[in-house]
Amino acid sequence: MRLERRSASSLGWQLLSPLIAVTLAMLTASALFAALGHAPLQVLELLFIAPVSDAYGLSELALKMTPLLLCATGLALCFRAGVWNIGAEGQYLAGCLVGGSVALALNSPDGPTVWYLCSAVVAGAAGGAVWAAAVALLRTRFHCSEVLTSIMLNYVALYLLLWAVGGPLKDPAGYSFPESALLEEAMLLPPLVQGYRAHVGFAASLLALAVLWTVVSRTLLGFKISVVGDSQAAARHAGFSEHRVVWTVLLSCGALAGLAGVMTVTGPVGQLTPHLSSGYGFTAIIVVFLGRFHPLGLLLAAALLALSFIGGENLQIELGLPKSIALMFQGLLLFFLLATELLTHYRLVPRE
Amino acid sequence: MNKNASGPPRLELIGLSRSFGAMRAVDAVSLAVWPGEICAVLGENGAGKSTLMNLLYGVLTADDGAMVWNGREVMVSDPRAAQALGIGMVFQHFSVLETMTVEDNIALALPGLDPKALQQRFSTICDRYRLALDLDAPVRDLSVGERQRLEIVRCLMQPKIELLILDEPTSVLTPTEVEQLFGLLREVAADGCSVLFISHKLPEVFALCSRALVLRRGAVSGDVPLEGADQDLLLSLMMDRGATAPAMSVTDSPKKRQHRSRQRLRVQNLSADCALAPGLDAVSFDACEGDIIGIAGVAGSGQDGLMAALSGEQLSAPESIQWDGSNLGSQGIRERRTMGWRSLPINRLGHAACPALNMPSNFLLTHMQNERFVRRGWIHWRSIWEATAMLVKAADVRMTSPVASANQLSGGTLQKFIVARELMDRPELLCCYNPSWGVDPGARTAIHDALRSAAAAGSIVIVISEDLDELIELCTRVGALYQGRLSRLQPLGPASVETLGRWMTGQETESAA
Repeated sequence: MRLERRSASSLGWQLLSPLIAVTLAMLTASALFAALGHAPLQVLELLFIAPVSDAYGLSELALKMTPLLLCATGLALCFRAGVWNIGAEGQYLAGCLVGGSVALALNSPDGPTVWYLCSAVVAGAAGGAVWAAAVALLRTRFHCSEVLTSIMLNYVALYLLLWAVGGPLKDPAGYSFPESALLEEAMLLPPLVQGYRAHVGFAASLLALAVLWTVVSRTLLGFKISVVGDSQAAARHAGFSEHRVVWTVLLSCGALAGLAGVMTVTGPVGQLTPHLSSGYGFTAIIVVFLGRFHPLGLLLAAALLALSFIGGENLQIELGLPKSIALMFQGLLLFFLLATELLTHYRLVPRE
Repeated sequence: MNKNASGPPRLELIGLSRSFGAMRAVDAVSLAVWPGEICAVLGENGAGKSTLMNLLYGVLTADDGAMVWNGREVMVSDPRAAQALGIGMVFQHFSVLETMTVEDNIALALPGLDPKALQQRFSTICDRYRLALDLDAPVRDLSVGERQRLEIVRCLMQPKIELLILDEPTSVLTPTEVEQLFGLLREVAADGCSVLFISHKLPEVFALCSRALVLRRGAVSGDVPLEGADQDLLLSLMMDRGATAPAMSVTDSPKKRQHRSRQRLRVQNLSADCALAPGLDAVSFDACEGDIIGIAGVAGSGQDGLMAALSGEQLSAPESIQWDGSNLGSQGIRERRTMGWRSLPINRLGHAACPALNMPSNFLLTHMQNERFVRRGWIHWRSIWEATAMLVKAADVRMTSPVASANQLSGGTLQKFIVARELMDRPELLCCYNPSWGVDPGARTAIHDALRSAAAAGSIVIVISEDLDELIELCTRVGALYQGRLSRLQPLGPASVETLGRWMTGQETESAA
């Protein structure tokens, strides 16, 4: 057998390859579970079905999906423009830090808390945007590869957060733990349904997805993004500035990732801690590719990957398997996704 | 040390052919090269020189014909096989790695040579030909001439070297470096190695070579001993004179009308810098409505700069480009488009069109300012699809599927689409660069017809092309670029093809006298 380039990428394979990748990832994971002495079906059930078998589980799923969807929406914009922003994690953490700081500064049980909360959310989005702006500036002004700069800025953001919660933002009454004070009840995002943890941020993430869909399919901006992603010379020929598009997608992505960050702080966590991200900004990259850049695909992919996070915790509780099973599954998924991606551009032909 | 009196030729080609699609790039070429001979391979752009050399060096394989090496028929399947026979090639675009040292670059090309033997052979070669080259120097620090010397030394260090091929070796060299190169090549030839020297610079060919093989449209049009031959003979062999006569009748009518029409475009002292290729040096010309202006020139004479400046992708001094009396030089491509200017860049895929996007999207690419298609940032895809469908039908663009992306179309089909897209609402000025390059004859005719009828309707058409036939067929006036300078523009006459050829090689003063 040998590989032959297809004259056109196959639409069928474009839809099929994520499904094949998911199946292969599940099969490989099953083999691994069997090797560890657990019945694969039981493990898969604990991983993917048990967590969402009740209303509480669904609310937890929505909660996990919120930051994933927000980051993935922003990344989908960037990737469409050929801007390989790997820095959603850092932009998320910048959003946590800036938004969280504002929330802590305004932290009070009464007063115009709605406005306080809104200021914190806006500040978080701005923080993420500023973090992405650094990447945009380096790329447009100095021709630095955004892949490198955005990855490196992830670490800068992480250590800034660690420094902040261990220093200026540390709770004086917190027994020296590297954590900020808790936010007042009034400074937290309202839940979607009373009694469950999923909050209005989930609605915001769905809205962001809808806006993405509209922008990409209906507006001139979306068209320009696709053109820049395909060919910068064509963008010059059309007569618009590639730099402006790069700035637009990076600032949007930074704002969305920052929003995801601040909504985690003012949502389920309620304070600044060193552990605000489970790598959402990185997992969101898998979401975008698994979802094939399509809004509906992003939604399904975000659900699957959020499920793997929750299911991983479930496995740890029920079977004592390490939580990092979830990360392993994500790794397998990306690996098979990239492998099957080959088949959308190439076909297997028998060697003559 | 000429050894050709006895024995077989070093290399003999018998009916060698190679096609790309419908185009025969090399068409039944037969030739012989003798040991120790320096032989020129001449031809216009696209005459098949590079394809022929790639066949010899095993980069491409022939469809038909045979290659005889030292009296024995051989198959050259890849460059390694060519090297084993004793063939070395110096490419026009150097194949050295800048981040490595001279020694590493040699070791990479000659595997199986241990460092000691490598150093020894290197110093032998350098001593023999009195070449200065530092084995430890990183290639990025070498001048262009030194890099070329490295490539040649690398070929000479091959276990066996009996034929050295150089593809346009002087195009990047200073006159002194050219002299040094020629000295080296003469010595190499005196040692019995044959040299194939590909060029289109006639004075150099006369200075170095004893014989010239002339290619035209893939076939050998002449095999001329250079002693006593004159340049005009070679020029006439390089250029297709058959096309001159019928071209007259075509150019007749627009030329007459030109006297009545008003002048609209004036280009004055247009200069531009260009990163790699030569820039533009005070280019001036003007054009009236209905004019089809042809700009000839060998590749890299400033065409890229002229195209970028005229399309508006690169800005220039305001008064250097004037349109109906107003300065346009500092206006960008969008502003010029609203004035009715259109352009056809040389690269269809990736410049004139987005490879991965479908045809409606590629239609929109240059119609973004049209209110019919985009209003306040919102795209009206339905009208775009309708307009695209009409265009596709009118221009007879054959697509496999209505959702096909640009990279799924053949070159000719895509170019027909792009030409129709730019001519849709009768432009005032259309500037195109190699408009029919690499397209099949049918598409070529269709594109030429479209350009002609645009001019007949009053548009100014500027055709920058390396294809002389095309310029002769289409244009009312033609000039040539040489090192960024534009010659006079003159109507084409029977004698003017040779004149044009001289202008293309920078000999304007001679013909102006």
